[in-house]
Amino acid sequence: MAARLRVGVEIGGTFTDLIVVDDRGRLVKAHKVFSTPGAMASGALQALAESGVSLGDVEIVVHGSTVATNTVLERRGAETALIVTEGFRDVLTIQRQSKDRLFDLTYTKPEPLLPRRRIAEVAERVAGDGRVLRPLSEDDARRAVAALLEDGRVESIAVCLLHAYQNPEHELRLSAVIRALAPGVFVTLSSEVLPEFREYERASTTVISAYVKPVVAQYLETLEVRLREAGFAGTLLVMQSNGGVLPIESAREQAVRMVLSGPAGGVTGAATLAAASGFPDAVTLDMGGTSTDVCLVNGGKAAYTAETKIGGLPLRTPMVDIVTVGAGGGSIAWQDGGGFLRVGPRSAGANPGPACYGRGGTEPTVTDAQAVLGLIRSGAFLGGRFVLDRERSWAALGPLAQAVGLTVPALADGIVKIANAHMARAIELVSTAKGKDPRDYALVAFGGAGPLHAAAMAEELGIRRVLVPPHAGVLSAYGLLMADLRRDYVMTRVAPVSVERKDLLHPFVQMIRRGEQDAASYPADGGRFVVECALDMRYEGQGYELTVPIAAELIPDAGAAEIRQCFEDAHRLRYGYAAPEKGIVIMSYRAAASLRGSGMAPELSGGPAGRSGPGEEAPILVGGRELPARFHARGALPGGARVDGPAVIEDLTTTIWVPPGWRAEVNAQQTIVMEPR
Amino acid sequence: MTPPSSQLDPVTLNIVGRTLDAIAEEMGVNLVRGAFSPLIRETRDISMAVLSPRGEIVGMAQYVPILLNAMGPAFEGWSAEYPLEALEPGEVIVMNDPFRGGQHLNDVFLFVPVFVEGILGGFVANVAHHTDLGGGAPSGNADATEVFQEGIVIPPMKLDVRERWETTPLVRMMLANVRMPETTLGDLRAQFAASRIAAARLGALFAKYGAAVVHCCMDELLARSERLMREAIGRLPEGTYRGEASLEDDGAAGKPLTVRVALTIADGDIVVDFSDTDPQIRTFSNSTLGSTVSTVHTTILSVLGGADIPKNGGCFRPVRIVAPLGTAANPRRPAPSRARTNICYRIFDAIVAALMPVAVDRIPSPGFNSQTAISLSRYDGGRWRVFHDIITGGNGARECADGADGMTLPLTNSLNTPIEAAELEFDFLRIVRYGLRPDSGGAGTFRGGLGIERVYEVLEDGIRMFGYSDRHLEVPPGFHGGLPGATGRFAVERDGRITRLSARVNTLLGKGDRLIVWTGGGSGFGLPTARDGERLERDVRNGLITGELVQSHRPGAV
Repeated sequence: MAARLRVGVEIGGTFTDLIVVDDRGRLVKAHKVFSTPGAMASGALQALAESGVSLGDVEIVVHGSTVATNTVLERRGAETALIVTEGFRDVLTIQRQSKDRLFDLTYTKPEPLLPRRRIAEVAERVAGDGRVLRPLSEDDARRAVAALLEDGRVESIAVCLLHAYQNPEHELRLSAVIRALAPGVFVTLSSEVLPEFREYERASTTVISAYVKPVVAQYLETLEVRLREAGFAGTLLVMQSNGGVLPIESAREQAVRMVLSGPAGGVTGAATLAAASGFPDAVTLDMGGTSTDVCLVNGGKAAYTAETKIGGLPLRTPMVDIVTVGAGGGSIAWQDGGGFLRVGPRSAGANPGPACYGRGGTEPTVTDAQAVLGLIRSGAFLGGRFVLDRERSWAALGPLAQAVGLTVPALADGIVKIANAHMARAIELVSTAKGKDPRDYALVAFGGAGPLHAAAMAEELGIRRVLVPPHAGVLSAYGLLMADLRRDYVMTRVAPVSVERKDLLHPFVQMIRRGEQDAASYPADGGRFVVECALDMRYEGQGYELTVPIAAELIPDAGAAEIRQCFEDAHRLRYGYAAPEKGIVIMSYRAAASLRGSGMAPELSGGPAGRSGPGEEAPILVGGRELPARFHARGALPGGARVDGPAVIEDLTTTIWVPPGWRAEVNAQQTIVMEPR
Repeated sequence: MTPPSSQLDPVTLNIVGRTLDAIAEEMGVNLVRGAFSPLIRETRDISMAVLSPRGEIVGMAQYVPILLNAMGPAFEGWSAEYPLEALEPGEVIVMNDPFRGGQHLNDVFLFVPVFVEGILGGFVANVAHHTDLGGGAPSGNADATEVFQEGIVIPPMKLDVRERWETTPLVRMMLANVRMPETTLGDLRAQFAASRIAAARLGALFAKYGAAVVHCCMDELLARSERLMREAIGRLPEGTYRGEASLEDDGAAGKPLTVRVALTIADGDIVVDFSDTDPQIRTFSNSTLGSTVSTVHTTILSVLGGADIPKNGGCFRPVRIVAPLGTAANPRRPAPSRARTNICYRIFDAIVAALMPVAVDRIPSPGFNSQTAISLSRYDGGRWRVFHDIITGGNGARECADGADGMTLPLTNSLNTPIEAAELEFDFLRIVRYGLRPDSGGAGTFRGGLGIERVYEVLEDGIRMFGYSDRHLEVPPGFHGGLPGATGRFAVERDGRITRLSARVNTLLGKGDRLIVWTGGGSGFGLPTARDGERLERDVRNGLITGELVQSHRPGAV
């Protein structure tokens, strides 16, 4: 009987990570290959083929990818059209009428995903309280849809009518008309994608959703078909922006929820493994080739947010609150017009890659700086499968060093420090900017480059503990396997929190029931159904809500006083004051339903036994001086092993830097814990 | 003392510089999220900055430029009365006085000194447009002839935030003189909360690197920008350049109000002289000195700043302004100035016109360049509710690009109010149309940006309307043969009849009335007949150019 295997495949901008574990969570294979931009599904299958795993032995494949993200960023989506309320055809063009760069007379707004001629108006109107002011006429609806279909090219239609978040009736009727006239065309309704007020942000999100849906559907279908052809008979799960996974059927219809799913697997894995080591409060730091993703984790749970921008276009969907900075191993250092030394956001990516990869890159990158410093070495990089040429790095840094008046090693030091400062700023955005002190958190470093930078960055921020979990270089793939099935529900219902009301939390009852019904259809053989509820609330007259968690025991009968208390505590924490004389309004209800424990629990015992060796000594350059450092192989360090800095621990998929004054210790969960001595 | 800048390493400089901007950015987010009035939380008519101990901008966020560059003159205004040496931790300065460095009354400034190791480290500052600060009419008073009819004047005043500032005499006095005290207090709280958090961040930056290093970075950031700005100025031929532009109606005598400017470039300096500008007027289109300074700085930075010059107060060091007292660019107290943005746009236009012969490669043809703002207010016997909306227009075309359609103009950067936000908040109105005005952009090799149409239906009787705009009669032609964009208009549709309103207006609207606001387009650049056929076809396909205007673009057209 063949082993029942689980496979996580994560496709990033530079690398594709693959991890294979058995049914008890034990590692079978970890693999890292260059991504194949343009043919992502093939890349995933090739990685699988290379890993030598027979797909017939695999029971679950969990997949994460940037395909939806790149569809928007590279404008490769479906031919999309939009239907809006009469009189509002230019919502996508006017946007919020503002610009992001002051003093720039050449500024232009981000181009919408579809041209004006693909936007049709229908005569109808709903008021802010949901009343129908002007009924939608069937004839007019048909006329509008037919006009959009006329040239036969539209593959996907978005519908965003004013105040549809209060009353979706007209959007639903348009949907029926479209399906009747063009059964093959994808339909996306704003009242389903984002039932929240502010028409531009809702229209933008709806259009993004409509734009990526056919592409994602096609991609997932190709992936599934190819997997099946290769003998895979198990379940295919797909990572969502919210850090949970959904079966492929549900993922297809909710394509927009994949748009920011790229970094979510890593966060899930890092949060799980940090908690397993006794650190439920953590900042995750995922540094790859192109960018670095940072997320705050409290009590083992990632922070969530509701809005971001992609390619300049607003997107509101529940997502893990990740701050991304354009600083990765491939980020290019340069000098700006003012003579300032800068790093990123331009990256050498997978092609040509950093100069030391010898794939044609000539510009100085962060990885080249690390090579100059001697922290990454040829023999160990990607398990020795790949030659690293330090001379090329040195040559790539030369001209820039001359231009800014530094020696090459001093420049290398500076590049690393600036990259660290970018990342430190990202950490501050998820912590200090939200009223959390980063010094109360452990920094969990992973991705190919994260563990190389983490300790220095921790020093910068006063963080006194750095964790490097097992398989840190492919943790974003490993994390996919740990993610639970999860789906988010949101519903806008404006309700003043008034003393007389006792039914304010009743809408949650219906949402929870919906979650239970959906969960019953998931192909999972485990997991406990859990719902986390939250209210978006604000003081009457404010324009932005605070998302305030509502404890299960308050539902459904808590009164206004208890709800007020929850809100004011949150407001005080965020802004430093409360305004007791002001009324409070509930804007939206949120429910996150998951099958807790449906993801895999990592197997953390094992590892080599015995004593660790002394490692090997090699010179490195730090702070402009040459220092002897000890180099250890990660695989040779047993539980309890201690390594004092300056030292480098080389793993198959990542490199860990232990600075002078720091000590690293392998704990019982196979995680390396670094602390200042 | 601070170490000489040559010892400063580029890495620390980069990190400190980024952090200063980040502090301002976070202050902006907190102000928007905490605020109560739609004008701040949706429209974002605000700005914020981190200032050096001498009041120069060293960190900024991307909100409204004319308010951002207002920090300098406001700082000068209050520091003339409160010596910096006498400031103490916990004190903050509040002000709006247009004759002591402020803008128009609605813009309330908050300056918070930050101390480090017992010395003054710098300031965090923010300014927000408060929807109503009293005066003769809600939100704005088109009939005012003195500042006193525009609202309550706050000279620079110190508050001690270690005590309960909400109940101090200043704040109680303010709240007793405004129409929506709860909203005003809520917005002030957001300003205070945002600056308190920013002050803590700046304090942390000082604690981490030490005052000497941070001050050295500030000096270096300012010095570099100054040097780059002087280089940019130095690339223009020396000499004196003149330009002018007019508001079409002074609101009193029915005559145009003309800004005349003489720019003298010599030795890397620019002197901007308003001596020939028309005298101040009795109505609210004056630009007090703070607004003039802020506008000149914004304009010079936009035209000469390029993408490569890091933007901060150092950019303003080469600029000197001569604005004789009694001109419309520096009126005597108590001249009203509520609608100052439009005379400020003419200052922008005049400077651009002056520089056109030597900098045509980097300046656009005239845009609609008229702040168009309306408010609809209702008093229900218990309380006032005031909806204030800012509608932008078309931008001018450039040498190599069409003007942007319905995008903010160069001095302001306020957002629109989402229709759904407006209707949820104000049940006495409905927005029934909001879109681009096809054909409103001036024809040209590159066409001007399109203006906007926004139509409001009033659902109750007794709604007071205030509005101001300009270029309702004429838009200047574009450069090198570009045609002018369409004009704007205010009108009311009542019982099927459409009546035009003045461009500066207080009036009363009743149930069923529709207020129609048109903003104008930007002017084109170059001859229309040279327009690329493909661009023209695309505009036609998308319905942005129709009918006769297509013809004017055809080769052979006159």
